[in-house]
Amino acid sequence: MLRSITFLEPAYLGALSFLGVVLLIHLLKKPRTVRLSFSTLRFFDESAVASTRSRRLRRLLLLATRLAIVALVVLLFARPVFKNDPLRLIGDTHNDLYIWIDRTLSMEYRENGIGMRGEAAVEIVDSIASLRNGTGSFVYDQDREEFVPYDTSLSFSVRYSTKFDALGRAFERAFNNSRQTTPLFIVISDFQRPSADALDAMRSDTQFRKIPFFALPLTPEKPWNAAITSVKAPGFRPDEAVDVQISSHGPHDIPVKIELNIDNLRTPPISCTLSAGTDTILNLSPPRRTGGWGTLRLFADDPMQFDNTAHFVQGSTSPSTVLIIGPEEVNSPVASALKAADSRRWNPVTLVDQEKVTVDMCNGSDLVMINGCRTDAALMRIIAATRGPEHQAFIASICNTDESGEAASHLSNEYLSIFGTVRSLATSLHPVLPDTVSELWRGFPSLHNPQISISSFFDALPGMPMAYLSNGKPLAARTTDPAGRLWILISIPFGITMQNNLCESGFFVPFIDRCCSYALAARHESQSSWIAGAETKNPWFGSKLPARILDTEGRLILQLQQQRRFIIDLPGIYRVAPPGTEPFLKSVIADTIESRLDYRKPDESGKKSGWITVSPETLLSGIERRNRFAEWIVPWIVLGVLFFIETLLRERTPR
Amino acid sequence: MATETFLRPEHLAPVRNLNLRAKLIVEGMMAGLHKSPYHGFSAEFSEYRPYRPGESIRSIDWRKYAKTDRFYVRLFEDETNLAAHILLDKSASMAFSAQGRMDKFDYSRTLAASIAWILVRQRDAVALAAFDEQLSTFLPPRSTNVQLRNITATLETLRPGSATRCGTSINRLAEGISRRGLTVIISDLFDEPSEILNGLRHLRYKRQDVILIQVTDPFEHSFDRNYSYHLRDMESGRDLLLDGKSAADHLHEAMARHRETIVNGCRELRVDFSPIKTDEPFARALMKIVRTRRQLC
Repeated sequence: MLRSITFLEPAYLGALSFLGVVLLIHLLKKPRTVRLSFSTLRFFDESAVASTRSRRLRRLLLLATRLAIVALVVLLFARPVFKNDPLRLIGDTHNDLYIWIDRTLSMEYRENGIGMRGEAAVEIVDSIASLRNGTGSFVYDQDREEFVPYDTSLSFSVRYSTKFDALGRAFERAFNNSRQTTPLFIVISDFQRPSADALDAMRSDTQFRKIPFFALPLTPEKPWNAAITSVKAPGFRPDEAVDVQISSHGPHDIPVKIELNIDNLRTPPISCTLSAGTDTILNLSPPRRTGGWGTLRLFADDPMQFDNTAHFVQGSTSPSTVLIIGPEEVNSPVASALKAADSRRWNPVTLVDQEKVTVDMCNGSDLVMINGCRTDAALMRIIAATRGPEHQAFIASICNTDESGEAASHLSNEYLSIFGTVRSLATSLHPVLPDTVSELWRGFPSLHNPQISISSFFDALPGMPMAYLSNGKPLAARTTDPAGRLWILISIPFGITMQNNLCESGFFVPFIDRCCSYALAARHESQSSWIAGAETKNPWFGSKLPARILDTEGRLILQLQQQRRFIIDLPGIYRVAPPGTEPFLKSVIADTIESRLDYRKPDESGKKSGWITVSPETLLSGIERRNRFAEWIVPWIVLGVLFFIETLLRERTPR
Repeated sequence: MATETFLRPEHLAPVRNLNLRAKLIVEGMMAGLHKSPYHGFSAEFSEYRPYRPGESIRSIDWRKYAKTDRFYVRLFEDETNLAAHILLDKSASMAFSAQGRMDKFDYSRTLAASIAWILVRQRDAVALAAFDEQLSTFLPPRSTNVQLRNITATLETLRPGSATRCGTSINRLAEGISRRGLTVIISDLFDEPSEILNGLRHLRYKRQDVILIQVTDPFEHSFDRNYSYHLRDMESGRDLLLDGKSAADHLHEAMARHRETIVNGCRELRVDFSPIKTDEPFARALMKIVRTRRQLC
């Protein structure tokens, strides 16, 4: 019983100490008992004993009545709320009422094709406002980030963005503006865990901690959903497959159709059935052999549709600047190979000697290739000073010999802690691919390239091998340095060299192209799609020139200049024009966290969470049959009756 | 008034010797009443006899002298052969006292000693009996000063006993009385009124003038309403928890009924009834007793 009660003005409960005063006065006025040996008790019959008993009972009743009067008066000030019957407080126009309707994507949940959450929320707000005759009711306006007076034209629409910190500030302002009377806060939400946790975090603020929040949960009873969880189109090559992960939530299998659309070319819909509660991974072949942006659609009659569409951009679509460090005469075939592979994508390709390279040159490049360089600590210091793993990928040949002929590397011992020797071979080796079906090597006719002759190699290549030599040693491997930069290391020199004839073979151009694509794609893994409605760090913060974000039709959406963070409201494909470099495409996706159907109870964090959960159905039915007069008058009638009883008992009970 | 003050129970309480206490009381009373027409307990006229020289001239009937020119002394009926019995209640309830007052038993035996002193001074024969559940002590009637000392000595040895059986004890006493006389009963009368009245009726049947003295403590008439009382019956040991108002109301009502029954019975039996509280001065109490005698009223 007590656990179902909370108080709006708990500070007044301190006045309950007056109960002790009443009790003390009662005890002080209680007749002292005198033990007495009396001459005879023959004059005291049962009626005397009964009279004494009734008088004692009356005194106890008098005490109880007085205690009840004090307690009732204190409670009237403390304003108790029955958690299962808060209607009286919500209907009390002396309190300002602040209502927040959850407009996160999960509130779009529809059952049998009928959207219930948002409409129900609006109906509840309308009912509450009518209960209060429209006075003192405020609804949170997400655009203005503050509570505004209730308007009968209130409508519901989901938003990709919910700023809980702004909501917290709005609550705070409302709280401060309502100092005279304690405001009531009502949260209408489906209580998905992320939203509920954010609300709890906001409520953990000291001044809100003791204020009850009314929770009207609109949680689906048996939720289910099909959602595109992720789309990966790494873009090593234009024709590579798109990896799709689709999740099924809920108790039953879901039949779906999947359609891939790239550059307005669609694949035929693929039908499949998603098993209940599982993730399904598909490899979809693109309809076109050129890179670009695409859309994946999931056709399913599930309750939430926002997560049935995903946008993606193939990694090859934006031009990448390449800086090749090393002797020009050695590396010019490498630059030519990149241009031959895709002159639009690898643009520009710059050759620079290692003595002339600068940190800015490295920072201005997406890909830094090091080949034919001498062991030089200065070069390593320049690389160490570059901006970091999110900006550049590195490809380096580490098979060098110094003047003394000792095996060495400009990366060894200085940066990547590589220890090994350059081995010269009597019998030449050739490259061997681990497979021809993975994204990296897809399309090669055979694993072996015997026409290539390799006479020396570095024998201790670290990291994950990507290709091998015919003696089983790694030809290329992927690794990261202590700062997290991605490195593709190659155990042979790949320019004009006496040590192999790689650049003279047909393997050279695709090998260089795919190594570079892989390096950039791997770098892009950390640069996943932006999330609609979520704050994104501005990568061009501090730049003198603004970066612009445009839609696919060229309309300006956002201009980034001095913002540290920015938000894109809707999912889709956007064209990003950074200052000083070529524009590129960027996909913005909906936050799939809303697809997970991870609901919780508002007061899950415990009895002291301060949430008063009210069933929306109970509230609406209560509003319909509410007798406001009775609720107002009953406590005062009770108080009057108690005073009357007290007077009667006081007059009939002697001191 | 000075005498009355002197004779207040609290002033006499330190005087342990009952004989002395009785003498003080009676002489004090006499001093206050020296002009009153007091002639003793027995005042019913019987006959005249000639005056004998040496007798107090106060006993001469001057009216008769005026008519006959001879000195005659007026004799009262019992003056010559009165045998008075003093019946004292020594039940446990008589030991009650409140607020530091003399307890009922001490007050009663002082009263008994005083009455005996008066009677012996009148040369009446006085007997003493005490009772609780039954008649336990009995001194046969004598009219000598030795008897007075015996009575006071016996009274000093008496201690409150057990429960009250007032009616039975009176009956037992009445059975032993053969000649007419005076019986003084001193008790709190906390017994069944019907039994008490039966005993009185028996005494009256034995041609006894009866003076019934009810000695009570003032507290027994007025409980303090501001207290609760945990009472223990001094006779039965029974416990009772009462609040002041209930105790006062019920006691007042029940005692009034009890007394009314006894008073009505006494009126019917021509028994003199004297209610006395232990805070009353002895002289006043004795005067009250004496004045109830019909012949003197």
